[in-house]
Formats: sequence, C-alpha cells, structure tokens
Amino acid sequence: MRRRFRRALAVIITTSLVLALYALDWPTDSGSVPLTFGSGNRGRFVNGVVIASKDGTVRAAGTGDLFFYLEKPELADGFPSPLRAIVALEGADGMTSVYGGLEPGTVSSYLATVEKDDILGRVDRHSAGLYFSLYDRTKRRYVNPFIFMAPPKDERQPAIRSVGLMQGMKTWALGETKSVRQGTYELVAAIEDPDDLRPSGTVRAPYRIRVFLDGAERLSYVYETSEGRDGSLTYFGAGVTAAGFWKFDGRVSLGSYLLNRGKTSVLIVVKDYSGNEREAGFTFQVE
Amino acid sequence: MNEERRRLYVVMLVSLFFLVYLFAAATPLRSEFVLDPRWVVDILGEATTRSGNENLVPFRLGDRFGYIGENGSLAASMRLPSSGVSFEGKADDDSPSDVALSDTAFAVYSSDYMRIEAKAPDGSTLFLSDLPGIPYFSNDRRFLVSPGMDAIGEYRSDGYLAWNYEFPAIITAFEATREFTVAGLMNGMVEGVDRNGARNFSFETGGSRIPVIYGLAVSGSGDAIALVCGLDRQRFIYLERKGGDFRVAHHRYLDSSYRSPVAIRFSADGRFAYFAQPEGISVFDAKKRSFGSVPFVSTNFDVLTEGGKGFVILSSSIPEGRMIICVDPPGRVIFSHLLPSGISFVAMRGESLYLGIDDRVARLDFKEE
Repeated sequence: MRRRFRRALAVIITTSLVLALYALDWPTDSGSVPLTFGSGNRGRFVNGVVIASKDGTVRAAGTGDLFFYLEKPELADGFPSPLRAIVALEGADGMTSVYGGLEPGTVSSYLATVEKDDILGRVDRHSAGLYFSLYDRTKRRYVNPFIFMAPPKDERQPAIRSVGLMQGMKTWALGETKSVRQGTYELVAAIEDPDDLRPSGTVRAPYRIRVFLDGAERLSYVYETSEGRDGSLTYFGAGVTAAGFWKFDGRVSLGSYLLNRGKTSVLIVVKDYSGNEREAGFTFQVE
Repeated sequence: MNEERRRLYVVMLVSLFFLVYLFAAATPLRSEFVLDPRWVVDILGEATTRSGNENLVPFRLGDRFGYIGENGSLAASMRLPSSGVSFEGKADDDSPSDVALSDTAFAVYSSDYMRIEAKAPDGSTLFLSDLPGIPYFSNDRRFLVSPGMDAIGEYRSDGYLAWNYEFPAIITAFEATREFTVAGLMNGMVEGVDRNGARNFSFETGGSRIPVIYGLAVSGSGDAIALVCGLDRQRFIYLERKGGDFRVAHHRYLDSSYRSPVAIRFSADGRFAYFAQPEGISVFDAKKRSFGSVPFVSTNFDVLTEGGKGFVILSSSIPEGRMIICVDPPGRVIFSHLLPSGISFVAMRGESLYLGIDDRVARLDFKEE
C-alpha cells in the first residue's frame, strides 16, 4: 500500500516537474520544426523557430495580454513586414511571445487577454510555417522557445561536413590533410541538424556544438539566447555575431586556435534537441 | 426739439459705428478650392519615351505597377509575375511576388526572399542582393528588411551593401530621413542609426505597463521625433534633439489603447504632428505644446502635402472609403471630399493629386477660385 502510494506520488511529482519545465504548449498541431533557434538564413541568424502546421491553426502556447498585432504585412507607413501578419503576447513573467508568418486577415485581433490554446490565426499558406519567437524583456534578449516547450522529436543525427582549418584565404580540409605548419588557424565546418522541411538556402541549427582540442574542451556553443547590442545580435553568450560565425558557403566558424608543433587531435561533438549526437574526430601533425 | 436732436445723434452714431465696422472689420471672402482635372492615362497602354528631366510618379494598381510622368505620359507599366522566381530562376508558384516602389527605384521580390534586383524606373539595375529580406525604399534610400523584421541593411548608390544593423527586438515602427533612420521596437526602445550604420541615439520610452512603439514620425529637419507608445497606459511623446541626443520635450497620456500600428505624421514644416486617436486625428502643435483634433476618425492616414497657404492635405481611410481632407492647422477643416469607391491609389506631388482606379490614373490639380 505504502509502495503504491509512493509510486503514485512519484508519478505526480514527475508530471508536475515536466509541466513546470515546459510552461508553453506547441502552438500548432505539427511536431515538425523546419528551422530551429539560431538556424542560418544566408548569413543571418534566425531568432526564433519555424514550426510547421498540418491544419494551419495557430494556438496560443501560453497565457498573456495581446499587446501587438499586425493584420496586413506592413506597418502604418508602408514599411514591409517579412513576418507577414503578427500577434505578440505579453506573459506575466515579462516574456514576450511573437507569432509571425500568419495569413493576413486571419489574426484574432479581438482578443485582449489570451488563454493557452486560444486560436490566434492561421499560418500563411506561403510561409514555411509559424514563426515563433520568445523575447525576455527583463534580460533584453531572445530566448530559444525549446527551453520552455517540449523539444521536437527526431531520430536523425546531426551532420558534420567539410571540416577545415582556415588561415587567410587558404583552407586545409581535415581528414585529407596530414600536416599543417605551426600557427593560428580558424576551425570551420558545415554543421546542421537535417530536416526535410527546411527551406532552401537555410541551415538548420543543432542544440549544442562542442570542440575539443587534444582532449580539452575549447568551445561550447549552446543555442539558448541572442542579445542585441550596438547594432549586432550576439549568440551563445560569447559575443558571437552572424558576420563572425557564418561563412559565405554556409559553413560556421568554431573559433581560432594556436596549433603548436606535435600531433594534434580535433574533436567536434554536435547534439540535437532529441539528444542525438554526432562526433567528427581528426588527427594531424603540426610542423 | 432737444429730444429729437438727441435721437438723431444716437441714430447717426449707430450708423457711423456700423459704417466704420463694415470697412474696418471686414475680411475678404476665402477663395474656394476646386479640383481641376488635367488628364487620365490608361496604364495598359504603350509606354512612351519621356524627357529626362520629367518627374515621375510611381503607381500600383492591382497586379500592375509603373511610373507616370507629370504631363500624363506613361513611362513604364509592368505586371507582377503571378508566381515568384526561385533562386535557380524557375517559376515558383508557392512564392507570390510583390514590389517595393518609390520615385527612383523598384524591386520585384517573392515571399521566399530569394535574389532581389532593384531597378531604376528606366530599367537599369541599381543593386542585386542575395541576402534574404524585403526591399524598402524611402527618401531616396534603399533598404533591405531582414526576414525576422529585426535588422535593416542599406544599399549604396553604387550597388554595394553599405551597412547592416541588427536591432535588439522586432521593428514595429520605422522612418528614414536623409541623415538617419529611426526604428521603434517591440520592447519599447527607439534606436537611431546614422548613414554609416552606427547607432547615433537610443531612447527607452517606459511609463506604461507594456512598453512598445506603435508609431513614430521624424520631422523634416530631423530635429524632432513624435511617438505613440505603450499599452496600459498609452502615451504620446515628443522628443527634441538636444546636443547629439534626443530628449523628451513633451508627453501626454492618451485615452486610446491601440494594439496595432498607429499612423503618425509630421507636417512639412515640422510644427504639427498628426496621429490617430479614437475621437479623430489628433494634432500636436510643437510650438505651442498644445493639442487639437481633426474630426475624422481614422487609424490610417497620410499627410499628402502642404498647400501654398500652409494648409495640410490628408488622405484618410474611413469606414466609408478614402477621404481627402484639407486642414488649416492645427485642426480646422477647410473641406473634405469622399473619393469614389474603387480608388486604390492616391498620391500627391506639389498641388497635384493623382488617383488610380481600375486601369486608369488621373491627375487633378488643386486650384483656388
């Protein structure tokens, strides 16, 4: 009897913890995420997520005051809205949730106070999906929505391709290069978490990237927040800008390292939201 | 006799008073405004060659756009592709196209933001962009708005991207002057960016439970900014340049609680700021720091021009249709005219009003008679 009670209590506590952990519901009926937080769009970061929809209905992921909406894809002075129609909610915790990529004319502008699951509009039929972003007013930064929502399920591993060392305009492809001269090199790689619905020209981001040099962790990029300062949005809490991160060919910069003489090993570990991990290791001689 | 004489004096005095009043206090009758039709152009007709120094007026009617000369010549008339064009150059039915249009440039783009080519009215290429975003032209400046609506880039006249500025939150209001650009943001901040892409000022509105910018306008001189911002309670804020920064010169809590963008415009001399309010178009007199009202309820209006007499002509969307309102600032309505239904294009250059309906554009000149 006591054991059954303990088990029931454990289930209740676990369920409550999960519910508390994920304060937001998914705003559409699809479990597919064509673009994750921090994905690349030809040299720009995506500061939210793009979520596909089966029936097109967009529902409120959480409660809040509807404080801003855009019914047609332009502001009052004709300034265009690439996000098409928009709804923005202000949560009690100072978290602003933005629902973009909505079909003009479908926005539930009559709502003032929004409850979780209320219909906010329909996904624009020309959009890749709902654009959903979270902005933390108190810390003045964008936050990865999957910190507050159940992350997407996915069985595919992230991909790591075209790893190389760059110095000026010259690149040494790791895996093919047996030795490089001593010096400082920029580590670059094509990294993505594949998804069939990813729009062309974009690179879908994983959740975390780590770089180990000779066994020691030298870099850890977690896609959690981005912050605007002096005209640039910076990522990973490390002051990384889009210009410093994205290469023209879609590869990313994983930092610069001084390589000293001797045998050197580089290990890149990439993890997605479902915990799938991919590693790419290379050993070469520095002369 | 004395009684009669006294009565005569009184009559003479009163008559004299009226005579003096008639000549001294009389004001000339106001001349009447009339709209003088000049020409009508069929935009489906053949484009004609034009003289090089003729000013062009851009038009957009349905899926057609182009340019018309002030004398009624059709300089260019193009049809938007029914589908977008993919990066590989193939037709893409999933990406409908649209056009960014100004007096000096146009650019057709599709909703997937693939390659953009901006052209001059004569068809020559101004710039090519492979960056994702939507082109926006204002005040002879060429911008690219990022897909996330939180960054702006500007293309120089030589076709290169001069700068790209990433704002800390989504843009909810924007204006570009020749010297700088100002963006109002969803987090209640206002940021100014100079012509080199560097931040030249930043202002945090505050004063409301939810800070957000619903509308902003910059005066023609660039020395003043008017804002409608915040929810619970909503505020009007008038900023003036003091040194290198903008400071609050006047503010007022409003009875409105708009939750979507609010139209706000300065008169050409920068003295009056017109902004939408539930009871009509409010007018802020920056010189007297006072408020007036134009009694037409409209959330979407534009200051078309200022007439030679200092009158302001507004084009306003009201539930019944589009209305032209001539105002003697701050708020005395000289005349108002409800345009025929179906008018989908209104523009003004100088004293000339351009109206578009179906496949035709007409020019009418304001005249005083």
